[in-house]
Amino acid sequence: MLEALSFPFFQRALATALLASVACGVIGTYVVVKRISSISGGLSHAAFGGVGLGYWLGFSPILGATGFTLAAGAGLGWAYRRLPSGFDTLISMVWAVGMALGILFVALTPGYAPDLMSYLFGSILFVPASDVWGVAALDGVVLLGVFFLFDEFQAISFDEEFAEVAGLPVGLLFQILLALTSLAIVTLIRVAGVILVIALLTIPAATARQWTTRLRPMMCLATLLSAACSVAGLFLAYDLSDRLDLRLPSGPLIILLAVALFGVSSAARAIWRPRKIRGGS
Amino acid sequence: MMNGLALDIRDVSLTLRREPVLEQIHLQLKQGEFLGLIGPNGGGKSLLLKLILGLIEPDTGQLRVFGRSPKEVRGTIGYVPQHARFDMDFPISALDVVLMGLLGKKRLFRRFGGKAKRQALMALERVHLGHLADRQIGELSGGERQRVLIARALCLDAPLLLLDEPTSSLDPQNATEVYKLLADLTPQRTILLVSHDVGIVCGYIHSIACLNRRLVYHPSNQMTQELLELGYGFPVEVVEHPHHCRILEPHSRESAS
Repeated sequence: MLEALSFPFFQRALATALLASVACGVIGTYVVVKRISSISGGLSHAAFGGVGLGYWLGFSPILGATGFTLAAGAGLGWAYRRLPSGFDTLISMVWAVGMALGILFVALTPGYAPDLMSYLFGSILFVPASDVWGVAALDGVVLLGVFFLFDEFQAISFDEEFAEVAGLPVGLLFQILLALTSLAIVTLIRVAGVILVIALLTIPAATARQWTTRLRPMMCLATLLSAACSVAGLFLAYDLSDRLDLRLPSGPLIILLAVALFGVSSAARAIWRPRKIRGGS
Repeated sequence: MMNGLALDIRDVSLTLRREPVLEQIHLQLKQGEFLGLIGPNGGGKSLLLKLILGLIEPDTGQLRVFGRSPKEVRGTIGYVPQHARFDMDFPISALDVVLMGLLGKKRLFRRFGGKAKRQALMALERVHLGHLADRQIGELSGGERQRVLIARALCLDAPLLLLDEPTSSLDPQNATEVYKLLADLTPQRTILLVSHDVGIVCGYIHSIACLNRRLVYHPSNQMTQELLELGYGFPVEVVEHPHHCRILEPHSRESAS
């Protein structure tokens, strides 16, 4: 099984998975504690519109995905405090419109789009070297943003009204948080695809939350869990194809491993401290 | 500051969804005054606090806090909300919650320094929770959590404190402690306290106001039957308790008639 490490494609896959885990653990923590998983789901599906536009006009689909998620994030962030009653519906619209645009753009593209499935469900085994650096750069932006605005993000996640009373620019901070979430989503599209990204943003962080009482340790643990599931999923996919000739995509395997881990963690938590059981989300 | 008024509210009205919720509110608070604000649920008490905090804008009238608009003084007023609407499982320590009170003074992109942390710890010690600073917020009892929120409002050392039923989840003994603490903060600070504990509160406040869409102000701490009836808008009974008195509202007489 370890001979897989000698293949450059596997090395790149491993590097991408580990780098994406950082964005996943850090931003996933906010997604879970601020309860913005439906917004994040909308953003990741909006990314597909950008993927399609990239195919059609002939530029990098990942670049298109970045533009579309950032734009959708800015739009949702603007509407968040202005549309209290219709916001949920708006998320669904962004979600569906992103997918619809993606499918239309791909249909307009002459010829056959061979790796469309890879953007829907992830294709970490076929990551080009340039994308590894791209993911590393996005990680850097996410980490810098969270480093400098940690207290502010904590405040708007914990008690938005008080944060506003305290004089914070709550609307702007939420916009920045959504922008960082958009970038994290782009890094994860390579690993899990637009449809499964939301699972990676929520499940490791929800598991980490069961064992931590502060945001920073929660971020670290979520990153470790996400890295562990990604690496295990990659090896599992390699091993199944090597021994049983079963060609399974690694993205869904990674997510099923993460869910299994969440189940084991929840059970352990119930036994460990029956006095006070924390919910996952 | 010029006229010595901490709070100057003139002719303020507010309509929500075509429903008048506050009508022609006049209220002047001198610096150092401790005002108790009572009134029925839905009478507009929390809305009045939100107007003062600049979270909502009045339709008409003028609000001045130390001679400036609510938006200008944002971040310098201490505030304890009525219900802690936050998630009890949020991974945050009591000390970090108190530190939130200092966010207005911290510059963006900077981290809290040792001085801010000492200030927050002192605020926690004032409400006798210094030993629980490292606890996760959900591991505290309801009363302790409420005191953490009071410490969060205190640590800013704000000249004006707004408290929206800060003692609703405390037992009478703890509630009395909080009132004593607040009374000690005057006359350096001005306090506006929303409360249902009319009986206990009377011993500590300087003046009382009753808000039921309209505001009736009484410049002493003597609760009168007349004031209660004006404020509540219908006859009320006052029942003496061993510790404190409570207001009994008749069963929605207005809607029945």
